[in-house]
Amino acid sequence: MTERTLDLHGAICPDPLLQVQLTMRTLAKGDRLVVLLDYPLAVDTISRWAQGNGHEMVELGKTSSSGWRLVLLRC
Amino acid sequence: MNTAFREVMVSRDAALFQAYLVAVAVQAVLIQLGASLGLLEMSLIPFYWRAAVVGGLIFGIGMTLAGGCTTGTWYRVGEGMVGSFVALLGFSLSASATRWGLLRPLGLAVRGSTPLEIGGEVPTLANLLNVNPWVIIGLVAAGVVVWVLRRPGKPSLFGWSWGKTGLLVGLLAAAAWYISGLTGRHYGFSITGPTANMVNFAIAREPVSLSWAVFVVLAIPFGAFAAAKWSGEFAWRAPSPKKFPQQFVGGILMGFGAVTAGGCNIGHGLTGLSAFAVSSLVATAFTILGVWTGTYVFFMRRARGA
Repeated sequence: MTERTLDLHGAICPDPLLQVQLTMRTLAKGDRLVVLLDYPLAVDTISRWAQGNGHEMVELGKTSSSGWRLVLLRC
Repeated sequence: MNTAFREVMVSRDAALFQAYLVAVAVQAVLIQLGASLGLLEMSLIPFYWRAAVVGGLIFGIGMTLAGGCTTGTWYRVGEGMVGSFVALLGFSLSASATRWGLLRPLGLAVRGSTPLEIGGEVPTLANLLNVNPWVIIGLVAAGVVVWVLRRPGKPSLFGWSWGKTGLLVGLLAAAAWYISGLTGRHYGFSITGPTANMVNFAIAREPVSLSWAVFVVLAIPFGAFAAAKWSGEFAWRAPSPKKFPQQFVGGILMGFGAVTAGGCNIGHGLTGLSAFAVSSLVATAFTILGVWTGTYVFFMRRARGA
């Protein structure tokens, strides 16, 4: 299992979701993707995309008042 | 709304788009009812077909670069997003310049001089098809209800469900027609005209331009600021500096496109659409097409190449 980190601080829609989609495609089953971002709407679009595409959201938490950390599991 | 239009394409997720249609349907029923009861008057945006097509398209492409629609940009300013300040600067300046200034001749050339009319009236779906407006409203509302019930969008992570949000926006938008009408302005929510008016008032002190809608628009960032503070989500944040010119140019395209088309995603997309004005239908369809085009050309293609 490998773990990749995408630092998307400062990125605005649609970049965050597109970056996540592209990176997920390069990962193997069981790999994890850590996403750091500060754009609230993107947290929502990414988690709904993951849910709808069979990936698992292992972790979702805030790192600061506006910072988020998501961990996705490639399924 | 930029997101609502875009996510149908990027992640095949129609939850926001459904909420948008719920808002339009609720508003359509209420304002037609209000008009029948004599509570409000429906004035509509004239249909210049080239303006709706070209203006809508440019506006939609601009939204993708600016990182949000007109309302989205205004409320993100209140949430502390510096990039949206930059987009708003471009948008408000170019909206004003297209209405009164340097860009006006270009906007008028795109628009043409004669609006299309049906029997001397602004075309709506009802008078175009020569049916009672309630037939159109009934069909649209039934279609929205069936779609939402059969294929509900995935729920939002936070706060209210998108359906509930759509319902509330529809109620507020209908109330806006009534309240605005009391001040002698016979239209619902709009953003672009009032934004341009604000600039014009600030710079040239035109006394005519401070309508009810100007104060509504000014209240958006304060409301967003209060809500963000309340939920502990307010923070100053900025994209990388190289995004600023992109958002500024996006704002300029939005201002030119929206003023040329006669409205933005709110004036046409939320308000005019619920009255089924043909101008609003065409402008909104081309705005959506513009968002898809912009998203593909500037983001998806580039992301794949990277």
